[in-house]
Amino acid sequence: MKLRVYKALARGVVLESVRRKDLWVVAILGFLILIASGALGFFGVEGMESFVKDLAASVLSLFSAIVAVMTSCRLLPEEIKQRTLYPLLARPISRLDLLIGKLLGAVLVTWIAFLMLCALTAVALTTFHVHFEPIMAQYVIAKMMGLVVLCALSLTLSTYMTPQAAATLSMVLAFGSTVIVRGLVMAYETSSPAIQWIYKFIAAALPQLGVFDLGGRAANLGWAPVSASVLAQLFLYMAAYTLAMVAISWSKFRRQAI
Amino acid sequence: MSAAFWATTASCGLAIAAGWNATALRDQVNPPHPVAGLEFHETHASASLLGQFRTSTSSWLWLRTDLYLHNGVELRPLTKGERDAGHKGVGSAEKDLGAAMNDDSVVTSIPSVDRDFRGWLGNLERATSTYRDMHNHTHNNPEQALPLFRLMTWIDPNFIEGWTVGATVIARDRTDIGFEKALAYLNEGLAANPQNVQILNDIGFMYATRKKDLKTAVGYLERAREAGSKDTSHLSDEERDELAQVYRWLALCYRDLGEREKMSATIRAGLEKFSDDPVLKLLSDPPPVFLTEKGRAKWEAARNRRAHEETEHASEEAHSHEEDHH
Repeated sequence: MKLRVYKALARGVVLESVRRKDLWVVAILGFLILIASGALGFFGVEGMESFVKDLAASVLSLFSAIVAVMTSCRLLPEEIKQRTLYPLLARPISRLDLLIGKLLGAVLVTWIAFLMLCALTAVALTTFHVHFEPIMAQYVIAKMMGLVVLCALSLTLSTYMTPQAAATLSMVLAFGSTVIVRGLVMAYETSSPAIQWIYKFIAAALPQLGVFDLGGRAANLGWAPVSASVLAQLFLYMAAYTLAMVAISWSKFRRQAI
Repeated sequence: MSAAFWATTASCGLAIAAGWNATALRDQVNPPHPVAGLEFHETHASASLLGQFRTSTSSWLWLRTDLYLHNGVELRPLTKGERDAGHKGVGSAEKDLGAAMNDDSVVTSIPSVDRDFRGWLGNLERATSTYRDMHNHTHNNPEQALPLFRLMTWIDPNFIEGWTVGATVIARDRTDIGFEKALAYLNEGLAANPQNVQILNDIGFMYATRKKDLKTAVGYLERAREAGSKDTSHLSDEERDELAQVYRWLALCYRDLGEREKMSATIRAGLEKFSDDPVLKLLSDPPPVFLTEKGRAKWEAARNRRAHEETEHASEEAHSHEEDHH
């Protein structure tokens, strides 16, 4: 029963995204990838396999994060603003179901966009005669898991602040959390025990999206694919963090006056 | 035709005309001698934006070359706190890259297990990232990064380290072809930066050490001396070091060419600018008066050999310093 509800809600998000021509933006971004790769081809890419793959991974990370944040941040605020939330909640679905359905829809839109970009990037890489390796498939899978976490984070933030503020903060966390955590680790040794405890808490609370990025291993030569247990751990981390985000957003959304 | 059509056409035409004449701004955006104090990009927003983009892109590519040499493993310099706490850099097992790399004061950006409080999450990051124990590591072939040097100097022709370090990497090929390629690359850099002391010095250095063509080397070194001496106020610390090297190489070249007077004049002029320079001081030392003629010749030969070694060592150190600087 619930699955049907989630499916309907997610389908609505995808259709809305298509109607708003969001995926056109993705197509334009992909077109930019092809143009940029054409410009790179002008210099010749002999000996630049690592650079080309690295660039592709960086561009994919950037564009997919933009799509994830922009899609997730506006879902609930727009429903409230346009008053389309009332007919939805008049149906026999709870607010938690609505949140989960919307999150699934955001994840679906992001995955579709990411896979479209992957396909266009693969075309660009093929023209450079780049060899495809199993680690690249793992990169795609891990990245998709990371995008789930980012969608959940953005959706949660949008329940507490305006869509613009949520998008900005999500972007900061998407691209800055790794740097912040590394800074905390560096400063840990020279800090007092009380501060160390705070550092540990912040590091645990921040979304460590860097762990889902296998781009470095895929781009550079001679790195073996990660083991199945590592992928399982990534899945567990994704599930735990997403659950926490849904719980936090629900605690706000269920009491929110609409 | 509507007014909107003509307005659109006119504004597009204006934009194209402006773009057509953009090269006229070249000398203002990239003046041959940067003005001391406020620079053009600090007072003109458009130049600042263009310059920032080019500098950022070339700097990003520069960092990428370091990453590829370490096969994707990101390294960072030790902080002052870490150095004070006695932490050591990972170090390198190779010494032939010493001219372009210095790994004795760097550690991996992703912390090692013993320095990471994150436990399971830290292990997960090390498993999914390009992390490995880098103690006494080796490097990838730097020639792999050559296209990046080409790309970064195309984007920002005023990025001097792109030209000089790129040429050093090309010149690792010790054949005549390697020399010719490195020289061609440096000459391209010289065409974009005709008054640059570093590039002129590097060309002179290559002619002196690789081709043993001292006359040609002297030609470039004299140009470097002239460029550096015109107005020393715009020289950075690195360029001042380069200029000191120019004086050393010039003195040594004149000595080997048997032009003693020019050698003495160069040493005197060099000491006026760099009074503490150990090599120039060494070269200016007269032999002890009690020595016989044979003894003097022996003493001078030993002194000159030492000066030569120290100058060559300083040239290599300068490249290492460029790497650290970035």
